[in-house]
Amino acid sequence: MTQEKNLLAKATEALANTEVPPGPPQEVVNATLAKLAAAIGEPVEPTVRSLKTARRIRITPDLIKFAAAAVFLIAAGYLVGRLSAPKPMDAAELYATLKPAIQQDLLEPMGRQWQLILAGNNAELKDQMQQDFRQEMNEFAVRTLTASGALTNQYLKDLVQSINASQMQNRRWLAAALQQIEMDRMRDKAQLANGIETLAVATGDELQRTKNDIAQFLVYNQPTGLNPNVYESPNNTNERSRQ
Amino acid sequence: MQTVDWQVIVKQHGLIVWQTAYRLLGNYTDTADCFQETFICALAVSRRQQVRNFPALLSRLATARAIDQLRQRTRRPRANTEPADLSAVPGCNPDPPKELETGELAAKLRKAIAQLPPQQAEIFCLRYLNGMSYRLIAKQLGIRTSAAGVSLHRARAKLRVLFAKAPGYEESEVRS
Repeated sequence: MTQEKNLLAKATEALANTEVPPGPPQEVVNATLAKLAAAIGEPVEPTVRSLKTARRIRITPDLIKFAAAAVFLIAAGYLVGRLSAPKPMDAAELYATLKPAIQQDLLEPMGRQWQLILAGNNAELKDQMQQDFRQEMNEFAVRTLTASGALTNQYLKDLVQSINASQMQNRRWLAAALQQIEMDRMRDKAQLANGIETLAVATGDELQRTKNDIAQFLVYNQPTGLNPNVYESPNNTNERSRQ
Repeated sequence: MQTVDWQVIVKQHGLIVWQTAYRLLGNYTDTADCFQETFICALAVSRRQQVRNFPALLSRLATARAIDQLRQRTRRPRANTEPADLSAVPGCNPDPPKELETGELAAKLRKAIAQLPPQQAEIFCLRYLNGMSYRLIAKQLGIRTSAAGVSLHRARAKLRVLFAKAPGYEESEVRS
């Protein structure tokens, strides 16, 4: 059963059942009573803060009631005012009201004007319409030509710019290619020079080695009694033949 | 101002204060300090308001002072230079390992209580160590009964977490 209790319960039980030594000891009681006597002898001077706190505690329920009543009255007044206020006129309703009157006011003078115009001379009307048509056509032609000219100029300008750009690009590519060719040529030249130099050195060494071999061969095959210095030139700088 | 015979009060309710303080503090010196502070606080309270239930008030004040001292002890761990409290050693110990385990659990709970918020710690101690009812706790602390219940629940939850974090105890063991 004890094992089934959780750790907190066990700890609580352990703390609650802590062995407390018998007490309080008499000296602690005496010291406490002495302190209490000293504290009782001191005059009680409630601070302003404690008075304020006590008053606040005392008036808090009344204050809460007053505040609740004030909030309720304000809310009620607001609701009454909101409900009794005239509603603002609806825009759609105003539009629907004014639309027939305005239409009526506009349609009557326009109808009268049109009737006067139609009653006039048909030929005059025809000439007027032709003149207006021609004038509009001329204006349209001028506008169209102007617009097409500006558009053509714009296209030509764009074409020239694109040609210039492509030429510039080609020049750049050409310059880059020439530079690359020049660099390749310089590198090949340097490699060729190194190769030729290496070949010359190797050839010189081989030639010298061949000379030495021939001289040594001749020295070995010389018959006894002959002057060994016949084949040895005083100008020979070969170290092996000297030896 | 209420007229109180403090000699009678100390004589009648001194044992409650002593036991409450000693359970939480676990040593003689701190308990003696807490004992004196509790009665001084009770005097100050009796000057401000009418005290009708001295045992409950003294238990609350003793618990609060003891928790304060526990928190101070946790904040400033000091070297244990006090003489051993031999009066707490039981005379005949039937089961030493169990006694050791009990002592360790009590010490861990003291440490965990010191880490709780003050009001939650006070409510936990008054409920489980002093056996006070929710209603009496709420009345003493000036809160609602439901608030006392909620605080007690939170205190228990935090204590479980603190026990689970304590070294040497697994969480599964706590929840088991």
